[in-house]
Amino acid sequence: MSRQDIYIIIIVLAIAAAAWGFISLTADQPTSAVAIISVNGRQLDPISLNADQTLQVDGALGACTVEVKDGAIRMLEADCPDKICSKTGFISQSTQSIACVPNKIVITISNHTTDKEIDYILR
Amino acid sequence: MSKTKYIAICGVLTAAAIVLHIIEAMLPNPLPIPGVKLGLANIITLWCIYQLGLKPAFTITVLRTIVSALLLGTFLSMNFLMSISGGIVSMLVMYLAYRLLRKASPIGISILGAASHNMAQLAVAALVIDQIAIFYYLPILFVAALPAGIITGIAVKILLKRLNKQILQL
Repeated sequence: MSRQDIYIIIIVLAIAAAAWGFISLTADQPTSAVAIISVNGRQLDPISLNADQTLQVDGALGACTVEVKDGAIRMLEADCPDKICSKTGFISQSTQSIACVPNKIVITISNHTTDKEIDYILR
Repeated sequence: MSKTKYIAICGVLTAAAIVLHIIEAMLPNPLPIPGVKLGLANIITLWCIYQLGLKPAFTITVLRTIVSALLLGTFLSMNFLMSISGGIVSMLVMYLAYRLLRKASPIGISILGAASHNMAQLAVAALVIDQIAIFYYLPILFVAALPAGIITGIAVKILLKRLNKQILQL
């Protein structure tokens, strides 16, 4: 191996490291995902997941509390008998959803670019 | 060199490259990462760049990918598109490196070939699936290009010592 070979190896490693650094820097950008809450089949205005907040949603049985925190959303409190919705916990990916059947409330996430889970492997 | 000898040598090299390509496709992948492979057929391409020049290296690379794809049943598939574009791009990069980096050994040139092969594959994949996000894969493929390039580079170094224009009496 000559000196130029060593330089080539260093350059290839440097490009890999630079690409890796660029990816890990850009990966943690605030999400542009929004939560879509629908009550009795009717969609409310989309809620950004960037700003932490709690809000009230009027369901079929009564008011429910929804909490947005760290780019995820959950049903904090709900006026329903079995509490399946609040036990679901935080959701942040568009493949997830929260449903409160007694209150007729469904929360889904809309955004394709923030999904980090693998759809398929191509080979 | 007589024309007959030239044609015969190119035919033998093409056949050898096809065999290496198909053997590699049959071997199980040691890593569960698609796209990471040794690039054995690259040995023939690089030898050809050293001994015969650009034109036969290009022809052998294109013929090798097309015939191997026909034999493997992947002709005109995604695999084939990535294979042929990677093959052509890496061949051109290795030729330029061979002409410009006079002090680099086959090992360094082979590493450049492996890295540019992976780069071209990623570019084709990004075009086909219309997603620039696949470039997240670049660091893995560049790091994987190092051992692959070193191994094929050593093979080319040995091959150039044992088999060259003088020995073949070209």
